[in-house]
Amino acid sequence: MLRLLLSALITVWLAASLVFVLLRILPGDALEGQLLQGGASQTRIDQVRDELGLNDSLSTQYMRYMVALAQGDLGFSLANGRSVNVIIGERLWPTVRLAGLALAVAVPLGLACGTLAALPTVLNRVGQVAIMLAISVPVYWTGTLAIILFAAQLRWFPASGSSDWRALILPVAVLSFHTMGEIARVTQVNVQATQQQFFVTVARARGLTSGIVQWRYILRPALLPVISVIALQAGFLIGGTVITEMLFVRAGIGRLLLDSTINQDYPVVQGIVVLSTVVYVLVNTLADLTYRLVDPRMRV
Amino acid sequence: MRFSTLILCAIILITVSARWIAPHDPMMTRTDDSLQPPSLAYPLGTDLLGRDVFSRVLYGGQRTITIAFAAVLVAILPSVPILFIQQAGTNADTLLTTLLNVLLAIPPLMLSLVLITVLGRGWWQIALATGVAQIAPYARVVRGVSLQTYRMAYVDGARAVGGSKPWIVTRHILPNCLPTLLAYAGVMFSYAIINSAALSFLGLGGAPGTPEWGAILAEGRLVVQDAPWVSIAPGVLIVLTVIAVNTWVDQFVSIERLQ
Repeated sequence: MLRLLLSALITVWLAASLVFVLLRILPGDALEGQLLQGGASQTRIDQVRDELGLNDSLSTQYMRYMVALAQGDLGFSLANGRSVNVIIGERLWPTVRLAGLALAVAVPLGLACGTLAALPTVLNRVGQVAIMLAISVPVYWTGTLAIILFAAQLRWFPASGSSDWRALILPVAVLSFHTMGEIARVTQVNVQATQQQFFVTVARARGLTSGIVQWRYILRPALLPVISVIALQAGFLIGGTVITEMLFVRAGIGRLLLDSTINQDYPVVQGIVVLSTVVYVLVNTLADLTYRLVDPRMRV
Repeated sequence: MRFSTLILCAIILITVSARWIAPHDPMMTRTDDSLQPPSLAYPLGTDLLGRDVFSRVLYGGQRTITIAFAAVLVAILPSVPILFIQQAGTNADTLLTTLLNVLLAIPPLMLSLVLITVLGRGWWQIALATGVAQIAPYARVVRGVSLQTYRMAYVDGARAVGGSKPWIVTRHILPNCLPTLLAYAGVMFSYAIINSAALSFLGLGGAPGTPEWGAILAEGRLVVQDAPWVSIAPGVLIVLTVIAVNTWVDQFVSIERLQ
């Protein structure tokens, strides 16, 4: 367990270093662009760069960045000089709410859909088609269709804004539908594989009802490995919120990241990317630990 | 199966020959014809600036498919040296798996956005950013398939008769991995279409107004109330291409097995 946490920590450290190195190849940056636009002279630009420590050697900057990062300090925005922690903090809640709700809908939906697609019932084609669509159709297209149908034509929900809960329904529905795809696919594969297992045949031979066989003997072992897939979907979800926030014109981290990308405001980009990497790695490590705890087969 | 081949060929054919099929200049604005519904003159209607959506979608497909193709090359070429790793657990393999774990720890879209921040907006930047984000997923599959092939008896045989390392890789490892690697490259291609169009949908492409499926979709988002056809055309084509590629690949190697 300690080894798992340690390797997670090292992964985060290396990923943060990689992001740091990539972002320092920057030819022009937000600061220079903005100051030049404001009519600042070259000496003023050099002065500000000096104040922010951008003229120090790369290794000094790296050390400072790592020391600050270890204390949870993400630095200052080049565009407005505000603390990245504060900027992210202001925008965090809407995104966490969107992603959290989407995940909360996607997990039961994915499990149900995958099970439906695997078991020999009338509805299994429906499940299979839903899985295929959820995996191969891009989020921005389902989102656009949802807007055309439910916002523009039927006018049931607003297409944009983040004022009330009704504006949340379409984004959550769209995001959760695609997050569920991979969960459902793995569920389907697992359930199908478990059906072939010897202990299932034995259970049937013992004359147990098909309901008991399905719930206790097939679903229980088949659904456990899905925990790790759910954690992996966090990566998709993080990217998905960027697209969903843009599509439904919502405020949030995704929007902030997009603006900062366009403005080459790299401390903000760096902060968000490192934060999402930490979350992603943490979620996966936790899933790994949970899986070991809940699956008795792992303890043998 | 046949059907997917047909659709794939049709999409490639109409986008490649856009120059001859397109009834209008995709960039030509006619403000009098703004937001026209589909008609004989404009088969798929017009957008806010009166540009012909059909022509834009044809030219846009050229760009989207070219970008995806370039991205796939970026994604798969760095994996070639992996074929030389003979065994799991060697120094080279440990280095590789550490590197892959680090790359896979950064959510793919985040990695792409970091690259766009560095390189600026533009089409080749999108291709590169999409490709780099897919290097690690592809490399992981290459590692798996290649290490599996090294365990085969015929590789031991080739070694026993004194085959050199490059000879073993080119004559035994590569040919036996190739079907799986090509199939997964196909899967990468459909991912590349989705992801590069996503970046351009987010407004990170080149000059505004340049036709590209993701960009046209984003333009359509703004007029979705009055002219849903602007977004429907590129959206349907993206989905059709992705599903056709996936089904086409699936007939050779089961995609599920790859993942």
